[in-house]
Formats: sequence, structure tokens, C-alpha cells
Amino acid sequence: MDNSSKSEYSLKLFAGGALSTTQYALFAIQIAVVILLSWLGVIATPVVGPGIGFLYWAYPFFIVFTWWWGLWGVLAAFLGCFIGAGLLTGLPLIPSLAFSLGDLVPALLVLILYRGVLNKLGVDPLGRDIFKNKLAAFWFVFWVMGITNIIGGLWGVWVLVQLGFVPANAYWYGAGLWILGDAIVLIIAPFLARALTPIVERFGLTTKGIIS
Amino acid sequence: MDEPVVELRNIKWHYPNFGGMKSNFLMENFNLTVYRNEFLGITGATGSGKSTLCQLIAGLIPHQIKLPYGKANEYFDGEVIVLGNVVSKLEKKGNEYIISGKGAMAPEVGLVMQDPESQFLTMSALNELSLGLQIMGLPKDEIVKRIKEALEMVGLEDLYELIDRLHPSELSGGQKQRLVIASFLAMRPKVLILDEPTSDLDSAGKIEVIEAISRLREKGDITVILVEHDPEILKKFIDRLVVLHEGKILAIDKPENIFSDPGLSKYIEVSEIETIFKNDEDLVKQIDLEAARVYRPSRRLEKSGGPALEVRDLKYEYPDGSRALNGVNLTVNKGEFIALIGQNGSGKSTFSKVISGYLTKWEGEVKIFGKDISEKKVRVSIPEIVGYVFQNPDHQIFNRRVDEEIAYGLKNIGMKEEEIKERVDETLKRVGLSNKKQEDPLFLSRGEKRRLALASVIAMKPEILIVDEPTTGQDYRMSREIMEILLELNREGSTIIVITHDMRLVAEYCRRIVVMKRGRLIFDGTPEKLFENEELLKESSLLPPKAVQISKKLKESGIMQDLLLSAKEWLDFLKFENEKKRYVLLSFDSMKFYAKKLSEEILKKYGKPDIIIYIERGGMVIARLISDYIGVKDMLSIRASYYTDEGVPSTHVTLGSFDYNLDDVRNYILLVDDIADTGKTLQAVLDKIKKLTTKPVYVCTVAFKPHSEVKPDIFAYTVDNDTWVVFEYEEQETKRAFQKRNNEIGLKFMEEAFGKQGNKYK
Amino acid sequence: MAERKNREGQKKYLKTILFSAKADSLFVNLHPFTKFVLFFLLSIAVILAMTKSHPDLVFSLIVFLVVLAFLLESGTLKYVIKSYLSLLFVAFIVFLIWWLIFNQIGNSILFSFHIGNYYFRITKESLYVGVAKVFGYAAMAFLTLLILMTTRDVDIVDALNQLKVPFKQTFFISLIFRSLNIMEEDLESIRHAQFARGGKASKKNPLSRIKEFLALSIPLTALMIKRAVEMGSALEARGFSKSKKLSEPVVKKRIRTADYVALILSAFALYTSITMNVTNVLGGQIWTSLL
Repeated sequence: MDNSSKSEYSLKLFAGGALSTTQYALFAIQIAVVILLSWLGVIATPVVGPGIGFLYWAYPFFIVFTWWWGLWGVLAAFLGCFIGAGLLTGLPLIPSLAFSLGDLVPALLVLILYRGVLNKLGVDPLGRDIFKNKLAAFWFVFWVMGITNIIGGLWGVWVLVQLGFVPANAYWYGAGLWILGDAIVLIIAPFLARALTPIVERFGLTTKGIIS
Repeated sequence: MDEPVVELRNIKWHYPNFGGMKSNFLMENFNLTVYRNEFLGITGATGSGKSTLCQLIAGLIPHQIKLPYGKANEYFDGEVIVLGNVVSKLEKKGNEYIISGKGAMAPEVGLVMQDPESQFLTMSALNELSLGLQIMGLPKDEIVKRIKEALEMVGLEDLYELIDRLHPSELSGGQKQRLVIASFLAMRPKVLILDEPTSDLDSAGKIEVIEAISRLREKGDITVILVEHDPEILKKFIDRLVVLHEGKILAIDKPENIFSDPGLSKYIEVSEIETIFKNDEDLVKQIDLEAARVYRPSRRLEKSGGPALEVRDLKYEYPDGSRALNGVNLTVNKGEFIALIGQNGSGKSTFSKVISGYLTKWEGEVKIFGKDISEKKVRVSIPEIVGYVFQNPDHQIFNRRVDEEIAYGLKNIGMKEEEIKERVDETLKRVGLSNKKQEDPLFLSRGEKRRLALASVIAMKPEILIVDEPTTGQDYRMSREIMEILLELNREGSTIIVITHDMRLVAEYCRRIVVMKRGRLIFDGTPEKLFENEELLKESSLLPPKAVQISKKLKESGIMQDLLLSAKEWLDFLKFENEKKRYVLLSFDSMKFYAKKLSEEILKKYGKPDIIIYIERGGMVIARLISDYIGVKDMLSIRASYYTDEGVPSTHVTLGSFDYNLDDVRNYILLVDDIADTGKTLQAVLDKIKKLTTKPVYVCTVAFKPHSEVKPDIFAYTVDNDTWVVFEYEEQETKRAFQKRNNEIGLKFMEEAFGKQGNKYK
Repeated sequence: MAERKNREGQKKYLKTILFSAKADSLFVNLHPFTKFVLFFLLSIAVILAMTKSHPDLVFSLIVFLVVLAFLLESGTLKYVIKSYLSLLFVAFIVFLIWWLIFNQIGNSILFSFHIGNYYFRITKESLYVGVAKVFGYAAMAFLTLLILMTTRDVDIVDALNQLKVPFKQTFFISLIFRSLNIMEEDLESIRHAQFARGGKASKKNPLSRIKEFLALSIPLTALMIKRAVEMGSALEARGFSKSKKLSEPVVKKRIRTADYVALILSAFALYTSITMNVTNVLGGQIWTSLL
């Protein structure tokens, strides 16, 4: 991918014109995918307390959705987690809303970095060069698997402790498991990007701005 | 047809390429006009641009396609006008080119696409039907009224009571598609575009939907554009037919002209039946009756290997309580090629999922090559023995490259890398996808995906291959190619079970048909037997192919002995009729010669008969001659005829009375006739005689035709089945018969033969 | 079509968000709005019950048993047992263990051990708290399942319509449900396709699980992306983007007496949870001493 193409992706709100019906349908599908995978992750590998799954399969997906579709991916992360990992696993409304910020914030931080900074440093904003570009690999590990993941984990478990779902003494253990599990599943994000980005691009569906 | 409702002017369209393999598709200088109230058909091979054309008219192309901003001119040009509105037009604004126009013009223009899954947008049948109507802002009463009407039109009126409680997953693919069609019909569009809307429907469903649209056209102001491959549907319903090829119009004309144009046979299915018979009235005048009477089609013999599949009392109930299989019993032998047919929802797909080992909680017994598949270790090995090709290729294909898709199964069965590469290339060639080796299957056309789905399974060379609707969405040429591939596999030893609605291909390729209804088998037999069973056809809503319908009329009137199942069999018959006809004359002198010969043989083999019975009137002369030679005076006669007084073959033999006492017979009876032709007369008489005596009856004729049901014990010579033996003493009757049937060749022969004397046949 | 009618030709079971439920059951016929409010009130009530300094086990138990009764009445308990019981059971045990490990309170030791400097004990008090948390969570989890199994997606959309939520937003919710429905079917098909070509279930090690997950999720996501394009076209073909004033939906579920009763009872449950500790009222101290 040449530099001119990389610079097409930015933090502009509306870089590509008005929203289309296809984007509307695509957003619904993103949310559905994140709901299903969040729920699966929590139900299949429960740890610590309700709403937390060790292998949180939705994570790499909403990261690639964020790469492709900007804010739509961020919102899908939030809504999908709220419904899939929250409501559908038995967490009440307010705890679900609160702890889903633990997905929204990391996704948003990923978006800001990739579209606002890294694309100017020669890193593919769609995550395809993680296996080829050392800089891309570094930032993926440091930022996506590291910093943003840690922020999400610390926040999410803290919410559950405050609401009485997780014992206070278990906070660091719980957060640790959350962060470790997410880091493991995030390994598949570059594979997803490599396999699926060509399809998204070929349909002309990537969002150059963060909304359109 | 008067004013235009759709105009495409100088259209250019080229799909944008954002990566991957470039599309070569290009539409240039494309012009088409569709008139008010017209029923326009569009046909053409896969990839010819039919769906593109539909979407251009509907305004989805180019408006729904993402084009590089400001560069629309590289992809689109021209103008699309529908109902007086500019739907799409290229405009220049400064240095940039953009697409202007109204875009999709719902509800005036409706578009029903191929895949019902992506078009069914809501979670209940009611919401699906009312979606478009709500968008139109219609009042509730009007919505309810239109919904009822629309359901009736597509033959789903029995769903109305449950309409608000029906979930999409409770509907079959065919029902979903009909509901989608109904949802557009309810909107009462002025232009309705249907892009292969019936490809997932059974034949009855197809006809029902198309007839519904036709009725709608008669009622009101609607123009219909239909993409379809089936020439019988197109011929029956449409006014004009457009033939597309690689984005260009090859022909626009009335369907009967298109389908009888052999020059178009490369591009579309030109109905061979149409070229044989201009119309199917007065068929009797168009064919040689004598040839028809004697002709027996030669058909492939089904192999009878041991049982490959044994199913006993198979029952299956889905978790929600719905019963899909209600006690199925079936044995399929190794090497058979059978068709499994039935309406949507009859249980065919469930049955095949059980056999392929996917569904497990069934009752009954299922064995594959003698092994019970309820045992886990047997079930796990089923994929190596049973190949299953899905009805919807989107559900089957999951790799990101065509060659990887084929290689997937081969890797799983432990094949080596070099062998895999070779097998992949060989299979790609077989299905005509070699040029798409590296393509992402997601971007193949529907027909290409179907071929890929088939390829990915046949590459594994399964012993049993179950193929679910292999030809749906394919043009006829490709459908035939796929069936030929399956036939080839069958010859190589695979047992093939094809699930299909296509009765033409079933009639042509399968020697055994199994019909399912409501989870049970209701028929298991040959195509001929099925097509002769009117009640069963009606019950199963099956429509025999045109070739069968025509020959059925002839069989019912006694002209033909067998049904001809396909255009190929018809052509073989006509070849037989035209090329192999011969006439030979048997003079009286020759008869004397043969009578002497036969008498010597009779005496040598069996001794003197007690009595000679001859069949009137043909057997009279030879019987008298023989009786003179062997010195038997006791002679009886029996009238028997396979022909009506008009000289047309009947459906049965008419026997005269025969009330003789045969108790005195001590040795044997000699039954004499001039020729063993079909053998029906001889058999009928033999049956009659054997009721009166237990003594042996030996049959003696002058001539014998190999296809005769009765082979005489003694005969003088053999003639070909298609040879007409003219006896001198029957000159006048024969002439009259030829005259009645307009048999000019026969009459010419008579003229030549009886102008000269002498035996032409020794 | 699935033959889901009884002899009288009635549709006995309705397809809901998860599985199916008896069409004539009490909970199925509650308005979705009622269910939403009930869910909201009861969850707050149960959270309060769980987070008190002395958790209210009896309250949580009562809610749990009531929910179980409704699951039975609606004909959905069998699905819970078949599909979710083992998963939920594991979740509950994990939950309990975390509380026992990290909340070692009280002096009435039931069980203890130590490894080096680490000392682990289960006391009556910690066991009580753990069990109360588990039953509280179980009550909510089963309540969620009850609602999912007795509510049709279509009813939720209709309820939002009645609340005058704009059409494009309610339709969006419907599209999410439809996407989930399609994904469920597509996932099943992909699994079948892989099975049919010898794709065997892999060993249980994490790497194999990841590979297996990728093998399913990549084609599923690819297919869903393609479906988005087709759905977009299908929506446009119905004039979706040009919709202005839409008419009312054809079927509107009404709020009936049963709904009011359910709302009043859930409000009462919340009130109870706020104002008292039911366990204590019923002699809670005696219960813990029985442990």
C-alpha cells in the first residue's frame, strides 16, 4: 500500500460524502457480530465475575472494525459489549453500560492513534502490515495489546467491584486475567486484518473519515 | 406496447476495482427500451450482464456502488430513464464527474433479487410484507388488504393466519423468496424487475409465481422485466426476449424466434424440442406412425452393485418439535444415479444432512456400505466417503481463494502437497474455473460459486456424492456441463444422489427417481413410471418436461410404446424414423420356399403337430402352405389385431373369440403367423391358448424382428426392427395403409415393387 | 415450513430471540415494555440484595425460584437445561470460588488449609456471602434467559415503535436481530461445510482452539460483510433512504392487566429490597447458624 493511500484515512468526520444505506446495514451487522462474540467469550470462559470472559473473542473483531470503519467500530464495541457481555450474561442495565466503557475507550484510543498519528509515520491504518513493518508491530503490541487493553481491564473490573460483583480483594487478579486474556485473543487481529481487509476494500466499504 | 417506460441510452458501465482481480466486465453503448405493459425477458449465459442490467434499471447501479470521488466518468456514462424520470446520469461539475438522478425509484420500481436471505430484512413475515407499505405511508386497512392479495398471488394464502407469528427461520428458502416477491407485489410497482426470482423454487412454485405476475399484468398497469433461463417459462409468458452476452445485446425478438434460432445456441438454451416441432398440435401428421409404433429408446442400464446406502424407518425432529422426516425407507445401490425430488419443505435437505453425517439425533437405521453411521467412529469418517454439495454455495465456501477452497478437503484427508496441487488443477479445469484460481470466492458470480462448491467436493472423489440443486442459477449449457461431470463421476464408480427441481435434467440423466413429500417417500421408480402417474405428479406438483409431455400424448393414443424423456431421445427417434426405414417385398413364391423350409425344420425338431392354429389374416397363407407340406389337416384360426380399423396401432390387442376344445391334443400345437413384429399379437394369442391347454405350443413365423416380445421357436429369417415387410398378397391393404398415413416413401416403394416381380429378399 | 401446529391447527410454539416458547404462556404475552421495566427493577433489587453488608440470600432465592417457575410455565426450561445449564453452572462455581478466595470473612471456620504463608479458610460467613452472590447472579442470569426465551424480536421493535422511537432507529434494532439470526444460520452452515469436508474438531489446546475459531469466524465475517452490501441494496430497492412519513405498524401489542400486575409486583420487590433484609426478617441469624 503506498503512502498516498495511507493518508486517505484520517480523523476527519466526513471524508467520503453522505452515509449510505449499506453503511447502515453494515453497522447493524458489526453490532450483531460483537454481540455474538462477546456473549460467546463470557459464557465459554468465565472468570472473576459476571460479564468477564478470559478469551474475549469480540475484542480483535471490534479492533479491526475500528480500523476499517472508524467511529462505527468504536460504537459497535460499546453496544456489542453492553448487550452481549452485559445484558445477555445476566448483568443488569447500569453495570453493563458502565463496564462496556472498558471496550469503548480502548477502541477509541486505537482509532485516534492509528488515524491521527501512525498513518503519518508509515504504518497502515488498516493494520495489514503488522507482520511486515516493525514499527507497526511495535505499536500494535504496545498500544493495542498493551496500553489500551490495560486501561480497559482496569476500568471494567473496577466497575464490577464497585457494584459488588467482584470482591475488592480480587481486583488486581481480576484485572490481570482480563488483560492477559484479551492480549491473547488480540493476536488474531492482524490475521483478521490480513484476511478480511481486501474484501472490505474491494467492496469499497472502508471509511476514510471516522464517520464516512 | 406503446410508450417507453424504461430507456437506457448509450450506457457504459464498468465495475470499479478497489483491489483483487480486475473485473473484465464492460457494458458499452448499450441501448434498450422497454414499453408500457410489456413483459420483457432477459436471458444469457452466466456473467453476461443480466443482474447488472436489472440493477441499472432499478437505479442501484451506479448509485449504490462506491465510485472514486469525481471520477464517475471512468465507470459510468449515458442515461437511464424510468417512467419519465432520470434515474442515473453522468454530470460534470467543474472538473469532477458525478452521478446525478433519482436513484432507486421505489415503490414505482421494484427489484427482486436472487438470494432471498439477504432480501428478507425483518423478523416476521408480517413485518416483511408491510415494510414497503409502511414506507409508502399507507393506512393500516390498505396495508392489510394488500398483504392478503399479495399472498394469494404467490400461492401463500394459507400463511395469512400465522403471518404475524412466522419467523424467517421457520420458512424455507422458496417461501422466503415468495414472501419477498409478495412484498413487492403489494407495493404495486409500475415496473417490476425480477432477477431469477424463482431459482430456489420447485417447478410448481415457479409457475405459480410467474402466473401470478402474469395475472397482475392483465389486471393493471405494470411492466415486468424477468431474468430467467427456462425457455418454457419465457416462451409462455413474455412478449420480447433480450439475449445478452458479455454486456452486449445479441438479439431482441419474440421468444419463439429466439429459441428456434440455432445461431444462438452457443449463448442460450435453444430448445431442441422447439426446433423439432414447430407446434405440438397434429403431431400424428408430423411423424411416421409405423416408426413410432416400433421404436424403443435405448437407455443407460443402471448398475446393480451392492447397497451403498440403506435407510430404514428414518425419522428426524428438529429441536423446536417440527418433524422433518417421518419414516423414510430407501436403498441406493453402488453406482446408481438417482434424483431426489420434492417440493420445498418435503425433507430432502434434512435427509441429505442425516446421510452426510451432520445431523445426529435421528431415529431409525442408516448404513453406508454396511456400516451403521450412528456409531461415532463411523460418523467421523463419513466425509471421506460421502461428499455433500450444498444448495447455497455461500454456505459451503469459506476459504479466501478458489484453489484453497478445493485444497481444503484434500488436506483434511491427508493428501500430499504435490498431489493436492495436481488434483486442484485437474478439478478446476473440469469445472471451467482455471482462470479464477486465485480469486476470492466471495467475488465469483453465483454460477461460478456453484461450480466451485461442486469442485471442492468432487476433488475428494467421494464414493457417494449428494448434490443439492447443482444447476440452480446456471444457464442451461452450464447445467448440462455440470450434469455431464456428475455422469462422468458416476461412470467412474461414484454413486450420485441429485436433489433437484429441474425435471428436464432428471429425465435425461437419472434412471431412478425418488419423490419425497412431508418427510416420506411417495415414489421410487423410473422417470417413465413417474411421468405416467398423473395423480402423483399432481400431488407432488411436478411438471414433466416438454419432451415428455409431447410423447405422452402419442403414447396415450397408442402411437408410441414408450415415453420419450428428452430432446435427445426425440432426436434419436427422428433419426431412426428418417434414416433407417427400409421396405422389403415378400412374394408368394418366396412364401412357398420358406414354408417348405420351415416345415422341414418343424418336423425335425418337434415332429408333427396335432393341430395348427394361425392368426388371421397374416398367418393364413403360410399356415396353409405349411399344413400342405407336413400333412396336418386340423387347422383353427383366431382373429387378432394390434391395429384399429384405421390402421393406427392400438393400445391393446383385439382378440376374436376362440372357443375350441383342445383336450384332444396329445403332442403339441403349432401357432403360425407371418411375422413376429412387436410380438404383442403372438403373446396375446399364446396366453389365450395356454388357458385352454397344458400341452406345448410352439410358435412359427416367416420373419422375426429382434424387438418382438415373443421370439418364435422356428422362423425363416430375421429382419431389422425398422424394416417393413410387405407381403405380396397384402398389396392392396398395404397400399391403403400407406395412403392413410401419408407414407410417401412406402407408396413409392409399392410403386417400384409391384411394377416389377420377384423376391427382393433372400 | 416446520410443522409446529397442534391438531387444531394452532401455532403452539412461537420462535423467540432464543429458541421458542409456548404461545399461550403468561410471560410470553407480557408486553416487552413491561419485561424491560421488570428486568430493570428486579436487577436493581437483586443488586441491592447482593451488595448489602449482610447479603439477602432469601430475597435472591425467591426471585430465582419465581423465575424458574416462569421458565417452566413458558415451556423454555428444557432449553435452559439442554443448552445453558452446564455453562452457567461452571460460571456460578467460578463466581463462588472467587468470592470464597477473596472474601475470607468471619470466624466460624468450616474448612481451612495453608500452603506456605498462604492461609485459606471457608467460614460460615464467607460461604453465606458467596452463596448469596451466586444466587443473586443466578436470579439475574435466569431472568435474562427468561426474557430472551419468551420475547420475540419483533415485539421489541413494535414496543419501540409504540414509544415513538423514529422508524430508522427501530428498524435498525430489527436489522441487528435479523443479522444475528442470519449469523446463527450461516455459522451452522459453515460448521456443516467444514465437517462435510473432513474438518474435524481439533484438540483442546488453546492454539488449536484459536485456529478453529479463526476457521469459523473469518468466513462468517466475510459472508456478513457481503450480506451488508446486499441488504443495503435490498433496503434501497424498498425506498428506505427516501422514507419520510411512515404509517403505523399493523400489529400493536397492548398493555393489559397482567402487565400492570407484573409491574406492581416488581416495584414491590424493589421496595422490599430497599427497605428490608428478607433473610433477617425470616430469622437470618438462625439460618447461618444452621450452616
